[in-house]
Order: sequence, then C-alpha cells, then structure tokens
Amino acid sequence: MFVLLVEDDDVIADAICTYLTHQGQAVEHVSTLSAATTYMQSSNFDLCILDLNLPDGNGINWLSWLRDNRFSLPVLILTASNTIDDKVIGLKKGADDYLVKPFDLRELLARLLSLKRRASDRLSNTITHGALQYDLEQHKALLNGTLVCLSRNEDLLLQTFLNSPQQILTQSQLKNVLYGVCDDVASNALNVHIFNLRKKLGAPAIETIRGLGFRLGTIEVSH
Amino acid sequence: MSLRLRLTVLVAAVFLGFWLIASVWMISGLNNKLAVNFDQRLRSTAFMLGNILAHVPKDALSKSLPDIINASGVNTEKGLTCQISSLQGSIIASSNSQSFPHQPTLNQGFSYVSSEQAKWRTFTLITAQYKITIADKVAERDVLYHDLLISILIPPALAIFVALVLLWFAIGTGIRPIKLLIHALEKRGSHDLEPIQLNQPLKELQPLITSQNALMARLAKGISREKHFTSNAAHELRTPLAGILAQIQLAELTQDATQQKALGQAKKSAHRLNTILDNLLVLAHVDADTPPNTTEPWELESLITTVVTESNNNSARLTYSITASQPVCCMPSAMLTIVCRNLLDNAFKYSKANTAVVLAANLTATALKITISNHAHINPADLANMATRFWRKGAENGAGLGLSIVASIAEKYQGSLILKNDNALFIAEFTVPVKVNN
Repeated sequence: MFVLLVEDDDVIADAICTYLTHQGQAVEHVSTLSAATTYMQSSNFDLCILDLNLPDGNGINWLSWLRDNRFSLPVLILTASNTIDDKVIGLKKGADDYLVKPFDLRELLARLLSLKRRASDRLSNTITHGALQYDLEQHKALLNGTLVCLSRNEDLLLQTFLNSPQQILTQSQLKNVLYGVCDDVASNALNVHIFNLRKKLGAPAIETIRGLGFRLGTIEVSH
Repeated sequence: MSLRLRLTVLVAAVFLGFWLIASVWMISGLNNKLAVNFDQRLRSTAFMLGNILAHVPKDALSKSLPDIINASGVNTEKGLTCQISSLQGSIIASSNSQSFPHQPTLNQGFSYVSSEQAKWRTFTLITAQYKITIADKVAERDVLYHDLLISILIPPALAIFVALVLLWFAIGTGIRPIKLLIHALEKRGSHDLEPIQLNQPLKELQPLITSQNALMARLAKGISREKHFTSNAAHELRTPLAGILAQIQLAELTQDATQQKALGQAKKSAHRLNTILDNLLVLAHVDADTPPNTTEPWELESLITTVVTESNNNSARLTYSITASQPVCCMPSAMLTIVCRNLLDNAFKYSKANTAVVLAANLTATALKITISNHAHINPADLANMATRFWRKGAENGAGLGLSIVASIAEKYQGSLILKNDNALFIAEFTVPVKVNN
C-alpha cells in the first residue's frame, strides 16, 4: 500500500512511518495540508492517514476538498480529538475510519488493510491473480503454491500492481511508491526491480505499455 | 412566610397600632369629657332649680312640689333624680324617693352616694332656704359611655378590616412582577443559562434582571471557555502521549538502531509533554491567583541576567539591554521570569536561524517594559490570534500556550502585551504599570 500520512507531530509521524515501512508498506509523510494537496495531485496514493489539527488548517476542510475533487482513496482520521461530534463530522465529511490518539500501531495497520480491502471490494487480505496468491498482511507471495522470495521493493511493486490490476502505472508513480515523492533515483533502478519481478513471476506478469508505463499482466498456472 | 403575607401583616400591624393608640387616646378623652358634661348637667340643673325655688314661697312649695313632680313625669327610675330638703334635713320633695336614699349630711358640691340598688353621682346646692341635690346613676352614665364608645370605635374597626382585605389583594397585584420573576427563575433548569425575559418588568426589578442576565452570560462564557480549554488541553496532552506510546511500541517491535531511535523519539515526546504540563500548571497558577498587594522588591538586572544565562543554546543570537535604577515591586520576579522565558522561547523558535534576538528591559517611574524583537514577519491576520490559548501555526511543536501565559500575566497585573510587525522584525512588548520601591 502507498500511504499518505498527514501529521504535524514529528514523533508520531516517525513512529507510523517506521512501523508501516517495517511492515512492508510505503508511506509518504507531510506535516501540512498545503503539502498534502501538492502530493495528492502528483501521486497515486492507496490510503490517507489524516490528522485534524494541522498548522495551516483543519483536516476536515481538507477532507471536503479531497472529496469535492473526486479523490476516492480511503481516508483514516487519526486525531487526539475523541468527541462524538468530531467523529460524526469526520465520517460525514468523507472519512472512512476514525482512530483516536493514543493508538496501537498494529491496530492502525489492521484498519488500513481493512480499508484497502473494502476499497478493493475484496473479502480477505489475500489477492489471487492467476497462479499467484498474495497475502497483503503477511507479505507472502505463492506462485502455484510455492513461496516466492521478494525483496522489499519487489514486494511493494507487486502490491501496487495487484491493487490496481487494470490500471497503467507510470514510472513516476511507481518510483514514488518505492522511493518517496521527493527522492530522485537512478532511472534504471525501477527497471531492475521490474526485471526481477518478471524473472520470479514469469515474463507476462508485468506488461510494458510503451510511452505510458506498466500494467499487471497474466500469471499463468504451470502444469 | 410569603412576601404577600409578610407585607400584609406588617401593614396591618402598623394600622392596628395607630388605631389602638388613637383609640386609647380618644377613649380616655371621651371618658373625661363625658364625666365633666354629666357633672355639669347636675350642677346646672341644681342651680336652675335653686333659682326657680327662690321665687316660690316656701309654704306653697312644700304643698305643691310633690304634686308637680309626680305630675311632670320626672319621678322615674331613669334620668336625673332631684331631692329637695330643708336646711334642717327634712325632705320636701324627691323625684325618686324609693331608690335614692336620703342624705342629710351631704355638703355643697359633687359627691358619690351608694345605696343598695345603685351608686349615684350627686351635686348638692345649698341655698338660703333649701338643700337641693341632683343625682345621676353611675350605671346609666356607664351605659351611655359604652354605647357612645361602640358607636365611635366599630366603624373605624370595620373600615380597617375592609382596608386590610383590600390591602391583601393590592399587595398581591403589586408584587405580581416579583412573582413572575420567581416563576421564571423556578422553571429554569439548572443548566439553563439563557437570559431572563419578562414582559414589562418593574423598573426596580430591571437592574436585578440585568445583573442576573449579565452574570449568566459571564457564566456561560466561562463554562464555554472552560470546556474549550479542557478539550484543547486534552488534545495537546494526548498528542505527545500518543507519540511516546507509539515509539515505545515501535521499540518493542524493532531492534538495534531502529529501537534506539524509537526510544530517543519517545524521550523527545516525553520532554514535550513535560513542557506542556509545566505551561498548563503555570497558566492555572496565573488564572487562579490574585495578584499580591505587596511584593518583595527585586532587581531587574539580576533577573534578566539569569534568564539570558538560561538560554545558553541561543546566547550567541541574543543581545540585551537593561535600564533600571531602582528595585521593582510591581509584580513577583517569578512572574516576570516566566514572561521573559516565554517571549524569548517564542522569539528563538519562530525566527530565522542565526538571526539576532534583542531583549530590552526598561524600568521607568510609571512602567516596566520588556521588549523582545526577532527576525520574523507574522501575517497581520494571525497577530490577533497569537495570544489565544492553544492557537498555533507553523511546523514547530508548540502547544500554543507561551504567549497566552504572557497575556494572562499582563492582564493580571493591569498591563498589556502588544504583538506587532516592524518591517522585517516581529516585536513583542510586555508592559505593566509600576510601583517603584522608595
């Protein structure tokens, strides 16, 4: 999952980023709403964790902006405010979940996975695509029932493709997932990871759409 | 006891008191006047009879007077009794010889005579030929006196009773606005802080209603502010607490460098939590305490030097000047220490890195002024909010309490906190009126 974290407290943000990264997720952290707006417009996030009391405004207003501009990604509000009114307003304005600080990192991840599962209209955290079965929680990929060893970046790429099976993903979007929005990386690093994925899952697993990017292909059952 | 009953009883007591005093006075006067008049009647009658008898020959009188008396109808049990006797004491004529006793020893003048049947008041006139005694029954006098008394006292008593009944209703009508006010207060819930509204309230009640409504408005504002403060305080405390717990959990789940980093981050958050708690305690202290009337004099220079020394991390950026020739006793030194620390902390935190921060402490005969300037420009729209509790802007992890504490202290000591931009500088001016120690 590629998560946008909008949180102005450095310590909380650091804990979330470290934990989610440790759990095989990609996180981009911003501490202001203006930065969040910029990131939303430039990248393709799967989920958003949103604090409400931010230096340049209220998260609820930004959430309204998000929905008004047809960003449909699931949003989890993570705030210290635990009044019923705040929860009701947050959920009414377009949030998909609400978690009050202090919180448990494992609960946060479980809620994020649940949100992503519901957004993808799946019944479990396991995605099946042809001969591939991928467990989003355990980060385990089974090809024809055999465990496939994936590096962190390969795992992130596979998740991204599996989460958007019909979508063409640009190089820029994939790089953002792997290295963050601001990081500038060598142009062939992404190709190396794609090459490795094809090697492990079969060449048709990732299709190259010339001039546009990449798309999830077919992973066939071997006999 | 109800107000209506109390007022009625009070007015009734006053009325009855006056009426009783007037009555006693009147009865006493009436009694005396009646006695004098009755006696005067006896005396006049005796003299009139004496004058008449002086022109009648004694022999003729002795023969005809009893007949005259009998024929005139004056020989009755009621009214005046007349007894004419010779100077030697023999009765010549008597209008009521059966009940009025013969009193040969009576001297001229008024006297009381008692018989078995009655008590008499008499007047005896002794002329050259006769002894004339006119008598009046005391019992008859008393009956007359009592009849007169009743006819005088009953109408006013009835009038007073009717007046009291009318008064009862009049007071009820008069205090109706008070009753309406009481009813309006009674039907309010314990959490109802809406203003009291009465249709055409009494002019005298208007100040009470106005002050009550003002009190409730202040109360509502205070409760709202308290709720806002509690909510904000809870929010500000939860955030670093959440940071600590999240980082500790992360430390439990990770190892080595990540674990150490997580513990370091938890410590950072704990420090922040501690700072917020300190600020909240200071704020509570400032809000709760009444400024002391007298303060031990202290040296401004010593205080500023201590505060500057504490900012050793930023000492290279800080320049300061002190103008004070006398000790200060307008506020406790601890309060000014908080003011200087918070203003300096704010200046260091929100100014451009490595730019100068200037502190000027100036004590004059009228005011103590602390001015701190730093390189920053604040959005004019934000200037008014900067001293609001829990208001914060920017990426720094402040709780939004520092300047609000300074503003509270300024207000406590009848001073002011002015925040303004001056070209490239942001200036905070804390001023309090001064009482210089002589």
